[in-house]
Amino acid sequence: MLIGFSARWPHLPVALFVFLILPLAVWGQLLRELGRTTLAVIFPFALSITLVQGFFYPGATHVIFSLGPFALKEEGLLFAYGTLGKILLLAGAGLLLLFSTHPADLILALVQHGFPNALAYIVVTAIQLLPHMQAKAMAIVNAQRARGLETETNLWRRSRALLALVGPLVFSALVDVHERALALEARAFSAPCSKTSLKELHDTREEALARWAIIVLSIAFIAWQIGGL
Amino acid sequence: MKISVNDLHFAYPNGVEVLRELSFEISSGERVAIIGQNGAGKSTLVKHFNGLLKPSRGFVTIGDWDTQSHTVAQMAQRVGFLFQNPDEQIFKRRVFDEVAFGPSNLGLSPEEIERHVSAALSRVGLSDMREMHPYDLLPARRKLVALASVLAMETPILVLDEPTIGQDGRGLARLGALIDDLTQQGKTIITISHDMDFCAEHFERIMVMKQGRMLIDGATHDVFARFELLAEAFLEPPQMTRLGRALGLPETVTTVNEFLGAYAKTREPRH
Amino acid sequence: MIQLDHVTYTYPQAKHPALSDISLEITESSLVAIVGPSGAGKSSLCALLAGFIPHHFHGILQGRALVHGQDIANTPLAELVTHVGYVFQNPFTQLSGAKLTTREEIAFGLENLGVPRLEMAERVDRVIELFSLRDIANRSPYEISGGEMQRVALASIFVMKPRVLVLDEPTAQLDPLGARQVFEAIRTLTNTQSVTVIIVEDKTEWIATFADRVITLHEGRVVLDGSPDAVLTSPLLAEIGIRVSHYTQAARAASRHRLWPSELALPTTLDKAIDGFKRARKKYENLG
Repeated sequence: MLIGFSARWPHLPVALFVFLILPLAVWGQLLRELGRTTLAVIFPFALSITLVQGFFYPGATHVIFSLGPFALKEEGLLFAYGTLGKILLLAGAGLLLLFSTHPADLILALVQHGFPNALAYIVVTAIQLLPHMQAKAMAIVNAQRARGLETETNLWRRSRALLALVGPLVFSALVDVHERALALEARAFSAPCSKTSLKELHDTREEALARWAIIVLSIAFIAWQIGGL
Repeated sequence: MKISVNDLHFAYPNGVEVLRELSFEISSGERVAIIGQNGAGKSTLVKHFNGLLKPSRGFVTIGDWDTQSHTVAQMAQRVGFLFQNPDEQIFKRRVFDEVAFGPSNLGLSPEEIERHVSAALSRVGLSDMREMHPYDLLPARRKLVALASVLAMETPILVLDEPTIGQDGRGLARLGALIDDLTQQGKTIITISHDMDFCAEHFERIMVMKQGRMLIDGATHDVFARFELLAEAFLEPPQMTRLGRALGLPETVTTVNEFLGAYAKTREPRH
Repeated sequence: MIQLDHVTYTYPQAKHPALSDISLEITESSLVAIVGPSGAGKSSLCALLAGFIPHHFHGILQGRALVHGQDIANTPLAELVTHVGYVFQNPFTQLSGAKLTTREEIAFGLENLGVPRLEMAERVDRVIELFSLRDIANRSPYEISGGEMQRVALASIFVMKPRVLVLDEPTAQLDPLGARQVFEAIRTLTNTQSVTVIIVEDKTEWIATFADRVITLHEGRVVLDGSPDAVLTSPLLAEIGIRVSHYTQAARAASRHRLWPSELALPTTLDKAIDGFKRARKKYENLG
């Protein structure tokens, strides 16, 4: 990613996406998921950047065609292409990490490298329980709609619905949290001893080597680019 | 007010089909219990009655209203809906205000609201708790507050999702009496319940769902007589039905009184 | 094993005690059911046995409560949990939220206790077999049915080897199949493992068949304590608002019309009801 961002050759980010991220996604059997989500993330950016930069890039002179007072210019499009390439690479790499590594595994890796356990627990549960909080919020709104609260018309009514949502959401969250805290106690969460782990993260020598290689390569490339300025 | 369900299909956006080919009618004043395993589609089905979910195919009408063309809030004038978990509903600081929320959304006058709320609270036996904070009540009582807040809307149709959970013997008896009483007033009551004995005592029609389809739909006696079909849906007939069958009673019984009647008959002197 | 001497407990800011002058002794390896109307103090009693009272809920605790001779009030929770395991009503809130598979979920308590990995894997796999969870061992604990989730909860407590298990209405939110599966898991435990199970439950048919003893609470006090047959057929139950099985109701009504053999106790299960009504019929035919 660093390489893609620091490169002066405008096609490098796109090239990296096509020749690095996509093959990795295919290898991990994540291509469809990754493709769909990347498109969803990229499309609004693509539209706005292409339009804004294409027409209004400061100092651009090479007009491709004009539309009344507006003119589509080559420099703008090139800039848009470069920026989009970087976003594509950023989104692709980020999403690849998200899809291939479950947050719980990531956290386990962090804990094994010295990240505090309780903090890690908070992060993981927050990620895991988010969909359930959303479902609960939905259920609460539905309960109020079923009692005649209009939420489908205008903004003012929607904000009233929000009021009816907050109370039960906080209360049931508190009840849940309380029960969860007890349940954690019942499973010795606060036992004063060093914890062990059933799951072993196998960090092979090849993986460690690859990590180092990536770091060294990135630094070298950045140095080359800066030096080349 | 009649409920018509016509070739109802429902699938979530991800394509998972939850309801398939459902067609039936529920007439005004009927008492219908929907039973089946979790995930059979019971809750998904009843959420179509007040428009919380809209059919992917087919249609659902309540009286002359198609749920497709009305908001949930509008449907609330016709269908009251008690959710399983009262804590996902209650948000006012006073029992009275909580129960008054529905009626005030329907645009009733303060006098009417007062009348509806008092009637509903007395129905569920919480008249002397109208000034209390709902969260200070026991969970079983909070459920009754939620029930009162639905009753207070005085809709012709009531949907009760698992009303018996968390209720003790007294709560159960009160709920049963309430359902019988509401039927007297001509209301349509639809419930989802895992409590077969309760369904047998207070509901005249049973729908058994399995994997999004209607397995059986019929009179309580007829449905509970079909032991094999019920087993297919992982259900057991009511206690009295099992006892009556084991004793070889000539007819299917489902309630304590029916059992006693049928049993006494087998002992009448033969001439 | 469990000994309560004149225990009275009042929650902070409560006017009335939740538990009033309770004295109980529960011996090893038995299945004890607790019944009572809502608000009778069942959950408070469970919370006390697990040590949540007084370690988590403060308030005023009087009298003496011992588990394995250890005073609950003076033993840290982290130590108590290795004696007394606790399973909640809602299967969902007991999931740790930190694990990807049910197998890891079951191991969570052992990880916290610092059990070495090899021993842990062995213990986890043993309870997976015991509770027939092999098919779902590698699935996410969030993508299984309620009944399965509750069995996972039970397994993840039992794996910590407590000698007492406290279950607070473990089947209340399950469908009939899920409830049956959880009951079967409890039966497996009491049949094959030396563990005492204390369960709050209102499904009288099941209690009547499997419990060794039934304790009835009302307004924080023990009002009945004895065999399932004796307690579950007591007329007091309906009076204080506890569910009474239809078998008992039918036989009680029948006995008023002499349609139930007077020498027989009222039934609490299908088998006993069949037996009684058959006998009544035979008696009548003999007379006629």
